[in-house]
Amino acid sequence: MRLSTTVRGRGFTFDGLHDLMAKANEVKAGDSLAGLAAQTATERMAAKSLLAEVPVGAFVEEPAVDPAKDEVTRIILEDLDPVVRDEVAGVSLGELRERLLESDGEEMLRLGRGLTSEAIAGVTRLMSNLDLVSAAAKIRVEATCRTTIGRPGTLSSRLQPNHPTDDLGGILASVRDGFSFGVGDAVVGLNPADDTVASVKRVMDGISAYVHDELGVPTQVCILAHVTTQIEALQRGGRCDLVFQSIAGSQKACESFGITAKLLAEGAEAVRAGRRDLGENVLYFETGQGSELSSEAHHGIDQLTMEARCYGLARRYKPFLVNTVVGFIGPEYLYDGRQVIRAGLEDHFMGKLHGLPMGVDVCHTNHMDADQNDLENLAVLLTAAGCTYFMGIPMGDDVMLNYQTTSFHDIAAQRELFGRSPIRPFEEWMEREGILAGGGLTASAGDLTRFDTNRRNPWTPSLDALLNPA
Amino acid sequence: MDTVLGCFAQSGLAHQLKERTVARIGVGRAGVRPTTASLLSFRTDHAAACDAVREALDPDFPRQLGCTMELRTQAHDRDEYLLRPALGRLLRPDDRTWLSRSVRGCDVLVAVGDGLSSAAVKAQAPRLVPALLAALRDEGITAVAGPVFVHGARVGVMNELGAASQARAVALLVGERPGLSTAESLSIYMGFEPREGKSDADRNLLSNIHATGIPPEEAARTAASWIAAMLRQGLSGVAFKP
Repeated sequence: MRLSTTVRGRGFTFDGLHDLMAKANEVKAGDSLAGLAAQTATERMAAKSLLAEVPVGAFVEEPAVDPAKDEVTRIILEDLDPVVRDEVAGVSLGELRERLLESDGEEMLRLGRGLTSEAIAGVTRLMSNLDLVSAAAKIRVEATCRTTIGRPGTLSSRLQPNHPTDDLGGILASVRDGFSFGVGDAVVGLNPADDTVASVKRVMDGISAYVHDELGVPTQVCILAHVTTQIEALQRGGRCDLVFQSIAGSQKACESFGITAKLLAEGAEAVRAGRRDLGENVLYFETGQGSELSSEAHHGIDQLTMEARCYGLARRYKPFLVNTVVGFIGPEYLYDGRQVIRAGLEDHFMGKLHGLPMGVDVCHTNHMDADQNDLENLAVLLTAAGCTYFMGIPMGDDVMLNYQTTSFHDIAAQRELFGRSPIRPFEEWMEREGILAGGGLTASAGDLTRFDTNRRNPWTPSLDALLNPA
Repeated sequence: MDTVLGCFAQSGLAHQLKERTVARIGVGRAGVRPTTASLLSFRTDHAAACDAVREALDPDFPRQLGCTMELRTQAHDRDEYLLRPALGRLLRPDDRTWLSRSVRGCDVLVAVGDGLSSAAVKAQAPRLVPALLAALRDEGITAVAGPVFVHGARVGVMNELGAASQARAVALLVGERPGLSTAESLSIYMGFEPREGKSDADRNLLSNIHATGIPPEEAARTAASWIAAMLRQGLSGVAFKP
C-alpha cells in the first residue's frame, strides 16, 4: 500500500490505512475536533488519490477497530458473503467507484454483500455528491413488517407526533394532522418524553388503539424508548409493531448507549412474540455521524467510517427502518448546511449499499449554521437519490426534542415533485378517506378534523381509559 | 365527554385539537406548501433562536447584574466556542489564578455563564440572581461568593470554578440551546465540590426557567434548598436525593 505521494511538488506521507482514510474525508467539523482531518485541501486530495489505489481486501485485513476487542467488527467480518468478498478483494477503491456507477442496483447489492463497512466508507469519500445520488438511486431495498416499504415509486414517511409531556390527546392530534397530509406510511413513531416502562406502555397502547383499532390505518406503530424499556413494556402486554434502538459503530459506543448485539436480537424476539401478522423486518435503528466521538469511543477513526460500521451492525438484524439523524448532533461534528448535506448523501448511499431500507432525518439544530433552506435542499437531493423515507412533523418543528426536520408539507411536496407515492395499502386507505387522489393531495387534505370518530369500533374502551387516566 | 375522541365529533374541533399540543398542527396549506403566515411565523422563531446563539451581551450587563468578576474560558470567539466544546470548559490561566486569589473557599460560588443563549441570560438572570442570593440567605448559607460571570461557558467549566475557588458547591446559571418555542430558557446546574474529572452524573439540573416554564423565583427557592441539602449530605448528582 502506497502511503506517500507528491502533489504539485509537495510531498505527503500518511500514517497507515486509517490515517489515509480520515484525511481523504470531505470536510467535517468532527474530524477536526478529533484531530484526524487533513490540514489543507491539497493534503486531502493527496489522501484521496492514494486511497483510490487501496484494494478492497485491505479493509478485511485491517478493520478500523480490532476484532478481538470489538463485537461490531466481528459482526461486520462474519456477515460478509465469502464468495463476493474474495472476488472483490483485489479491486481498488477507485475501480470500485466506477464499477458501482456502471452497475445496476441488483449488482450493487450483490457487491455490497462482500464489502466491509470500512470499504464502503472508503469508496464513499471518493464520490462526489452527484455520484452518491446517482449510485444510490439505482438501489431498491424492500422490507416487510405489517406493510412493505421500499417498493419502486414510493417515498415513505415517519409520522413523528412528539409532545413535551406525552399527553395522549396532544399526540393523537398531531397524528390526525399528519394523516390528513398522507404522512405516516412507514411508521407512527413517537419519541417519548418520559422513558419509564409504564408511560411507554401507555403511549404504545394509546397510539396502537387509535391507529389500528379506531382508524384501521395500514402502517406500523413504534415508541422510540430504550430497547430494554420497550421489551419490558411488551412483556407487560404493551402493543407496538417495531422495536427501536439507536446504534453506534463500536462496541464501546454501543455500551455507552446501554446496548449489546444480543440485546438487539432480544428486542426483535419481544415484538415478534405471538404475532403472525408481521413480516421478517421488525426493528428500527437510528444512527448519526459523530456519536462515537461524542462518547469517546471512536478509536481514533473518522466519523464517516464509524457511521458506516453502524450499518454493518444493522444489516445483521434485517431492520424494517434505518435512518441517520443527520443534523441533530451539533456544529462541533457537522458545522453547517454544506456539511450536513454531504453527510446526509453519504449516509444514505452507505446504508443502501449495505442493503438497508435507508431513510434520513434531514434536520438541524438552532446552534448550527444551517436553516430550513439547507434542509429542503438536502431533502430534494435525497428524494432524487431514492431515499426510502423522511420524518414528518407539524411544520418541521419538534416541540419535544427542540430541533427542526422535514414537515408534513415537505413530504407532500417531494411526492408531488418526483411523482412518488406512499406504501400502497396506506395510499388506498388515504384514497378511501378522500385525502389522496390520483397520486396527489385532494382539496380536503390538511384538514385534521376530517377523521370521524368511533367508526371501526363503536367505542374503544381501552382508548377511552387511556385518554382519561384515573 | 371530555376526551379527545369525544371532542372529535364537536364543532370547533380544530381549535380543541390545537389546545392539546404546542405542535404547529392545523396550519393550513398553499398547494403542498405552508401558508405565508405559518411560514413566516416559523422562520421568525428560528431567526430568534439563531440570534440568541450568536448574540453578544452588552458589555455592561455582567456589572449591572452585580457580578464581582468577569472570567473568560479558552474559547476565544463564538465559532471556537461552538466548534471546540472542550475549550469552553477551561478558564484562561490568568483568570483561573485571579479567581483562586480572589475567592479562597466558600460554601457556594454563584456563577452566570452565557452558554448557548445570551438572550436567556439577559431575560432571566436579572430576576434569578438576586432571588437565588436571597434564597441562599434564607437557607442560612452565608459564605456565598460571586456572582461571577463566565464568558464562553460550557457546563463543564464548573469543575474549574470549583477547583480555583475551593467552593464546596457551585451553582452555574447558563443559557440553554434555544428551541423554537423559546430562546430565553435558562438552566441552573449545581454540584457539590466540582473538581477535575466530575461529569454530568455528578451534577443536578433545574432547566426550563423562562416565561412559560419555571418562574425565576420558584427556581431560586428550589435551587437554594437543593444546594443546602447538597452541603448537608456532602454529595450531588445521581446519588443526590433532594
